[in-house]
Amino acid sequence: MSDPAPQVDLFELQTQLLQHRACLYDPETQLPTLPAVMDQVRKVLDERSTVQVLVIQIEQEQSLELVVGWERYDILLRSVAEYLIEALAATMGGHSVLCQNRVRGDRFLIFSSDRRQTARLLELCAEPIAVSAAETDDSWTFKLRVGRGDIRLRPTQRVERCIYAGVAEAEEDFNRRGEELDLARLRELHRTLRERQITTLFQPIFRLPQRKLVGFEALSRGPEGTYLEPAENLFGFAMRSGMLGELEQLCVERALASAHRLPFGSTLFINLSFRGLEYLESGQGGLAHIVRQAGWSPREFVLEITEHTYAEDPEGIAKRVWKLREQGFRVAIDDMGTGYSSLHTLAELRPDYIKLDHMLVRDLATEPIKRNLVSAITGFARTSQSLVIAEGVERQEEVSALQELGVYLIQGYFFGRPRKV
Amino acid sequence: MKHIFVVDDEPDVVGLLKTVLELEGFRVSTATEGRTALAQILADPPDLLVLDLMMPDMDGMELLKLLRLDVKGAKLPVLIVSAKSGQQNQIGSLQLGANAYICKPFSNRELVAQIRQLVGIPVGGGADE
Repeated sequence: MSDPAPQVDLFELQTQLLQHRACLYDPETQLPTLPAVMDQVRKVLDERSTVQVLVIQIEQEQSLELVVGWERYDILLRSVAEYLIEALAATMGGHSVLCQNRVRGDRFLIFSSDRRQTARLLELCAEPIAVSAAETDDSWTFKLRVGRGDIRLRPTQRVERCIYAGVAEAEEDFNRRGEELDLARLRELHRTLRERQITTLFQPIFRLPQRKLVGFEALSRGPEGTYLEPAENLFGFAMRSGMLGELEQLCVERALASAHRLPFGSTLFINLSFRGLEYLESGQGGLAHIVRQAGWSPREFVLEITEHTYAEDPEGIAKRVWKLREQGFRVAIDDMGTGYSSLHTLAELRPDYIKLDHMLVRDLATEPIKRNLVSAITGFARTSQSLVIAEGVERQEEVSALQELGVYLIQGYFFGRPRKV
Repeated sequence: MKHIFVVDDEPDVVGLLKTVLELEGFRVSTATEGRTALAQILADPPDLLVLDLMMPDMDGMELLKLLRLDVKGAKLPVLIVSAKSGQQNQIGSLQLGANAYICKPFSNRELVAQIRQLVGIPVGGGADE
């Protein structure tokens, strides 16, 4: 190379280009963010002096990503982007622009100069969207919430700030609609609690290689056909409206009421958040009292505490858990591998069981990084004398990979779906 | 012959990995800085990238993020090699699209086995096949 200098500059430029792209485009959906489309929006404004803005987001509780995990949430965002691209193609009107509010954000913006197109888009956004079963472990339907605003050009105001004002108007509308909806849902949740409309499904847990039935996890669902039916919505919404304790107590009571129909000697795994646990323990006699009243002994129970609730207050949980354990309950850490709490902080808890999240199990056979995480967890389990349970097992390859890594307790569609008893 | 690109800010580590991997029959390119590595990888995409997380100018996480934005780097298998053993780093690199993670110190055998798996060489097969 006689003159390497220009090439170095080119490399530098390429790197800078990628860095700027990383600031302006969402890597998951490939959509531009608002700063990247300002000029396009301005061109739409050249055509018409008013332009409609739609702010679109998955209808959700703030905690949806916490409940379903980032991997699944990414899939949902990708399908929203695809849905909106198709919707725009199907409603060809004047000029329109689709973008995302920010990189890795979860709101989408559509600018359109055609009122009929906006009206048609609103209709399309009101329809439920289904994510195919091939992408997630089960098919999932969700709705979008939309807020509307107008961008009006004003002679004394800069175009960019007119655009920001229009977006802000749409976001206000978006939030107001959310509040109205929340009120309706809050009434629904109150009715569910009052009329005790919780259904409990039981999913079996097996020990390999003999496929011996070990126990059942109790899974709660809200009233059929309502927004609160899926567990994600039910618990997510209850968490946000401060009713999680009441809801979880009802779920425990309903599970206990149906569990006597399970095979004799089965261990019952019950999900509890830290907040739910605090609520139950603050009642007279606490959880142990509720369990005994229903004719059970704490020894027949495993309390599943989710990993992300553990991160909220490790000391508080550790204290609470030791107390419950003294009463005979056993303890499991749920959704291991989704959150960020380190194995060392969990060591204090010395759980009887560690449940691997289904996201770690998915494609375990072919993804070395997941195998790595699972073997770190099984290694930790050995030293703390905990047993590892894999959740969401659906395929033979996953069963084999899990056995290879020393995980013998299996739960998932491969062996049995959640069912009523 | 499969082409492996090694990025690590410590020249000793780079030299060692180069020797080990070349003995296994791989073609090996190396870099000790994130920025130059990125440019070289995109100019001549390898079959696998072995990436250190801690580097002074552009760390492994940033390099991985930028790499995934380019068509040529979107599907490239990436093996993270790091002295950080925390679960958070592993999940973080998983979120950015890394394919495997090995903690330092590692054994040569472990590294080679992992690399062979990622570039799709069956057990017992040669790297130059």
